[in-house]
Amino acid sequence: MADTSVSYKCLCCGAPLSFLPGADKVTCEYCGAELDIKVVEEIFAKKEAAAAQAQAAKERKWNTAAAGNEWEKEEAEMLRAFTCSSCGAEIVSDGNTMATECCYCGNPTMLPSRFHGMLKPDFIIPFKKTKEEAVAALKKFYEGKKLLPNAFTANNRVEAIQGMYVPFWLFDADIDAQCMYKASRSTAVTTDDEVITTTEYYNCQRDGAMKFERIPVDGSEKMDDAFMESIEPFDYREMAPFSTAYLTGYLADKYDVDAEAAVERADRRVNNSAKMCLANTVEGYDNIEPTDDCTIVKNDSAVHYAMAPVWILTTRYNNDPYTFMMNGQTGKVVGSLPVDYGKLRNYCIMVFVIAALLGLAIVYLAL
Amino acid sequence: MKKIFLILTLAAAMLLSAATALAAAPSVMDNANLLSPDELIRVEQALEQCEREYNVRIGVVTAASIGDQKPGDFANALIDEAYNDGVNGNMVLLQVIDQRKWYISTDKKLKEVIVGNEGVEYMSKAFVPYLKKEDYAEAYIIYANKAGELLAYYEENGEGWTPDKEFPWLGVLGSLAFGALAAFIYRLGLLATMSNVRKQVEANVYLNKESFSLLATEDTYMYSTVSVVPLAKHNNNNNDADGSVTDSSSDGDHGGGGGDY
Repeated sequence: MADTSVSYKCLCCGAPLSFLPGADKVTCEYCGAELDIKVVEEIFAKKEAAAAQAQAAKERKWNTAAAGNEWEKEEAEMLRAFTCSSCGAEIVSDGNTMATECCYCGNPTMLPSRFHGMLKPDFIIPFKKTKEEAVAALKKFYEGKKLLPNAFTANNRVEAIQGMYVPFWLFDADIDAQCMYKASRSTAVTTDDEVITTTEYYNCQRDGAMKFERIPVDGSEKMDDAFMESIEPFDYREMAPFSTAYLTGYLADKYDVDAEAAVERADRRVNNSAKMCLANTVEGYDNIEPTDDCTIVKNDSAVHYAMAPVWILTTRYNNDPYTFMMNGQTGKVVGSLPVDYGKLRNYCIMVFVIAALLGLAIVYLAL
Repeated sequence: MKKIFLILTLAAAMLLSAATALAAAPSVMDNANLLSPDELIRVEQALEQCEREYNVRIGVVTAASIGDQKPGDFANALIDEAYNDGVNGNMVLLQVIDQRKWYISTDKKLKEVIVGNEGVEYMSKAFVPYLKKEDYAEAYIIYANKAGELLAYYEENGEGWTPDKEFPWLGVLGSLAFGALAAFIYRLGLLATMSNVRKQVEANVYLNKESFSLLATEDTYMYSTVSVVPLAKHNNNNNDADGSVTDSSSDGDHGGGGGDY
């Protein structure tokens, strides 16, 4: 039976190939052979097509030859089995996985059938940070956190670490904005008896044009939006045209939030920034308040589909999982750490006592 | 002008001589006719109760005018000439209507009870607001009560009351509140360091700064508001007088102090 997945193997020694962060070539970690990405793509393109066909064929049989318990229709949509081309093991992944690694032999595996019926990414931001750098960055993230439980740092082991290419929509927009602001300025005149303050209120209209470039909105339902927005920004200067070769050795998801659904998040950020930008031009007043009267018109817009690198690190403390994410390009780590509420109480008591004593000392000196 | 000055001086002299002539001056000498008969009785009762309890003389004297004499000197003279028969000491509150001034004078004995400006202010801060409201009877009763409190303190502790002997409750409560506020702010700060996961609300990073162009600006005047805040006045009404001691004619034989109302 034809393989339903494609493993990128070294053309020299047959070892699994992994794209090394920062390199513009695929390098075999075992024999050191350097292979040009285009060459690798051409060679494996045919294999991918064959694997896709094989997978399609297998899926056609799958529904009828289901053994054991019947999958629910929704579960069947979510979970699909693939055959590892290296060891022959069955790999189960969810419906959005485009690239993964075999959990038995660790072989980097592409799932080309998943590329069908979806858009091909325009760009990819390659991983620059390695797994070791991600672990080191997480440890550095712990540093100086006064409320971190001692047991968390003492026994902390990264339970799982996975590099993943996350689908992002990049929004470009040339906009015209017209916003109204309520502004006021006051003048005070002091007479012998009173202070007379006159406040004048103005309606300030500002029209402006501006361009936003590549606002990222993740296209993955399972990735937390707050995490994805926290690891921004990416350096787009290192963005490359998409190639599946970059995906080897990493997980890769296809989008399950389409561009249309992502528009709302991009619009919200564009509108807020446009309002702030125009507000900065309202000068000569003591107070400026934005109003709801703001019209944003997109004259020219474009959306690009890109894959962005994210390291996902999972640790466990008191049986609760803690997930951290690192921008695989810039190394920015984000996450929420557990809080030792005993330490928090002690710190607060300490500050309370010091501040209260300081206050009492001032009272004593004033007597 | 000289004529007016002469009349005022004579009036003051007459008042003083009248007080001197009486062997036992009444507790209240309302020369300015500020009190009704009922009020006069209530005030006298309050003063006499204190006098009996502590065996002192406590008087109230009102005067429409004392000429150009200083209220402190005039009140000291009242102590020397009229209110001098208290076994444990003598004290008088003088209120001068045309100057809108008050003065409390004590003899040497009560100088130990009514210690310094703080002792006088302990009483005046309580009764001056009533002088300003022209509720004179209430002001004098409060004066009598506060004098009683200071005498009781002296009797109990063997020394006069001063603010530093009072536990600074307000300062302690303020310090505790300051401590609690500092701890709360520190708590928020500490908790904020434990997570850097935040949604982005704007896209300023992705704005091409060079692309921005301001196409039109139009500022339209809508309306104005005017607010008037009166300045503190320094007129005869002394609206800002709060019972603080601003005058003193204290000497070796007299204590006390006075101010505006």
